[in-house]
Amino acid sequence: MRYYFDASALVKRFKLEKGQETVRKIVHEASLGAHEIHSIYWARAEFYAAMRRGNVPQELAARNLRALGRIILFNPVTSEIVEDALNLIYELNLHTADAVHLATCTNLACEAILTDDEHMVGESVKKHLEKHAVKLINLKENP
Amino acid sequence: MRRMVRKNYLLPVEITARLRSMVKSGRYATESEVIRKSLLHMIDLEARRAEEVSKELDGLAEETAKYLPKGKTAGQLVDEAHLEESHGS
Repeated sequence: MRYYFDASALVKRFKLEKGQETVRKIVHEASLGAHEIHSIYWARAEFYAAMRRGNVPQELAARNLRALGRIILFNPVTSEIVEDALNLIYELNLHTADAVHLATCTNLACEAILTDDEHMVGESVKKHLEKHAVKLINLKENP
Repeated sequence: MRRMVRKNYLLPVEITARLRSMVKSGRYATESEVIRKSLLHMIDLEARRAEEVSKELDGLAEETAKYLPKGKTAGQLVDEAHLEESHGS
């Protein structure tokens, strides 16, 4: 399976809470070669900002990112992705970062997206993902 | 047997090297047996590597959890980081 992780799903791997086990399982299976996990390079900055917000020391945040980088493919931000994101900002009334994640996910033809972000689970986003045959995995619902 | 490790078979370098040493050892009778053993060895290595990565991530998660606020979800933390950057608060 080809998964997409937004920044909140990346942070969830290090947060002992509801939904973490789902992330843990998929990451482990991906390390065995059963799945591909994609994200966008930009998400590394979002991850860092969230770690800082949680008062996690920089050295530990960097180690976390390095470990994730052994499994997750961080794709470059391309002009095509940004163009798609621009449309989504208007179409779905999304924040910039959420639109970039959504555009990257469909651009890479991922089959499922994992998120813990409440802005990513609204009806309009769900419909958009359905149109692109992407399964939405809402980590808040502890799937 | 030599044909098996020729370049046009496009075998990964690790498997090719392993096949060579297995063939040289003379312990295996057939090509398929050598390939099967070699692939099983590679699968075993991959499984061990995956276990190591999972353990490392679990250790890092435990350490990170000491700092992250318990009352906030991963999604809320990312959201707050966005807001902080937008408003500089």
